[in-house]
Amino acid sequence: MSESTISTPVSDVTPAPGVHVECANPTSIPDEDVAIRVRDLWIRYRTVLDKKKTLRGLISSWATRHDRNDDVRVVDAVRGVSFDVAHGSVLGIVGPNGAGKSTLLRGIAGILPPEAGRVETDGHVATLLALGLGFNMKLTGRENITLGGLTAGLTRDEIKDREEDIIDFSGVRDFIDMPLRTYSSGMKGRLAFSVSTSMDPDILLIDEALSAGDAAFKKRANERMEELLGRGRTIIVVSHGLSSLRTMADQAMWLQAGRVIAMGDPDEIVDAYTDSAQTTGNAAANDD
Amino acid sequence: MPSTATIGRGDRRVTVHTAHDGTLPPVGPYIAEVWRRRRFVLSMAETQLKAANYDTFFGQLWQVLNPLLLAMVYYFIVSVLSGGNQPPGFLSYLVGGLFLYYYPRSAMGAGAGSVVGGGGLLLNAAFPRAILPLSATLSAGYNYVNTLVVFFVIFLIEGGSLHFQLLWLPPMVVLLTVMSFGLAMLSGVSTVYFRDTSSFLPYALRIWMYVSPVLFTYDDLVAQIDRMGAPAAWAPYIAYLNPLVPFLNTWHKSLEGVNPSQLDVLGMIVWALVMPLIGGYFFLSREREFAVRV
Repeated sequence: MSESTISTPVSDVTPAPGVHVECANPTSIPDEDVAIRVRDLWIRYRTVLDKKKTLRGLISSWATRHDRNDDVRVVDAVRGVSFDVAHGSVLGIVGPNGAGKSTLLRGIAGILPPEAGRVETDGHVATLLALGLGFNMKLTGRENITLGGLTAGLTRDEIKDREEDIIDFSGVRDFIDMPLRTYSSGMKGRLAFSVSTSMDPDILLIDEALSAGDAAFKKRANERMEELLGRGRTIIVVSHGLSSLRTMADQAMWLQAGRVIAMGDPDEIVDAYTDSAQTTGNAAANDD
Repeated sequence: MPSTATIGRGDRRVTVHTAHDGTLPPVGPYIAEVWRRRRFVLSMAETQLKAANYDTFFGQLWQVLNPLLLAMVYYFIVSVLSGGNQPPGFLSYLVGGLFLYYYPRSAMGAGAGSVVGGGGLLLNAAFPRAILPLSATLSAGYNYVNTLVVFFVIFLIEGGSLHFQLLWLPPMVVLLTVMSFGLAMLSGVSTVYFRDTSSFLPYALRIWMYVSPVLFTYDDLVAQIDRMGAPAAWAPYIAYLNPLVPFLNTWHKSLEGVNPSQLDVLGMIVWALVMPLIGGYFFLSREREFAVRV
């Protein structure tokens, strides 16, 4: 395997990274109050079209002297995003499917490397992303709590201390010693939410989490987030639940095609986004 | 500047992520971070063991049954091929060598799948990615230690006796673990960029067994290298280009009550250094990219 087979051309399908983009909320926050600072962030996926790189593909591309990089498509999921989030505040992110919301969260968590730009985070970051916590379906709920806690960097004792709370909060006690594959998706979502909010994070990144539970759980989840905020924690929440964003978020961001369309007061942003979604027939915005 | 760093802002420590520049992350802090998450590593290894035979009748017993049945198959084949006249103690010679070979083999096999199979984990949590092949290696190591128990039962039944030289075995196993970890990182990173690795690997690994003194002896191997035209004086050294040779020699000699040669000890140490250095370099310098590629 040579380096050339894995490298991809720097595509020029989009404006090149590195072009300076104005900060979306230029009302500058003093340095010491910044929990999350994102500057001109670009995140690029490399997608191999049709299939993963295989020997046959490699040989046929050599044989035909085809450019080996032809079948690699470059997707800029986040394009020059800049903003600040102050300690103890909630930023809500709205936008249609494929806007780059989840990718942006993963960039902030340090899971996806920036193509350009920088991300600064002050404090321990916990993630509650769409796929859960890397749960293992064959293990029991209890074992998954341990695994999730260890993934987040907690010690075994710290996890044991929190285990009962996590089980109580998730409301899956009857199933906790059964394999996760026996759980409904709502139960998995509730367990994931309980685990990640119990990590005592300084910064919590939440992706569509509130859609996981029923009404009663949503209420408790909101209380849990209020509680985290009361302790000076910072939260970024990606949500289709637009009404909860209005009440919970201090500011909101409208992300579309990897760019910030607008950022500011949650009511104004949600209204603007909803209007635009209705005129373009975007169903996602009505999913409340 | 490395792609992830910590800077001071006032009295705070701020984590900064910037573009991946293809260089190694600072190795010291990286190892410290892996060490800090050692419980996570062990728990992952445990998880893999538990999940592997979760729904079979014999369950965890398969970890011992698999290599044992395999040893029976090879014993049968070798017995048939040689007309049934085996030297005394041949079964334990075969079983011991086969079990040892299976340790790096299964570490590489599990390591190959550890990164591409870690999809959800890779996309949802930031941690040193070397934890994935490391825990794959440790679960293979745990299996190996279990099979050693089975081995010694067979060994004693066949009339083998215990010698002080067996004390060579613990350091041998440690060095074998370090080497296997290097190989697991190598197969793990190769699979990310070249998915066929995991399909090719079993065949390459089988050839590795046939060029190692598992089904035959080290002397047979040297004689074969000699026959293939290598200068007679060099043949014994050429054999050590196979990383398994010093380990298998140490294993067989310790059981016979003979100390391994200086070349055996040196060979084990060199391979236990070289493999993690190569594997670690390729793995660590690319691991920031894994999440956008799996």
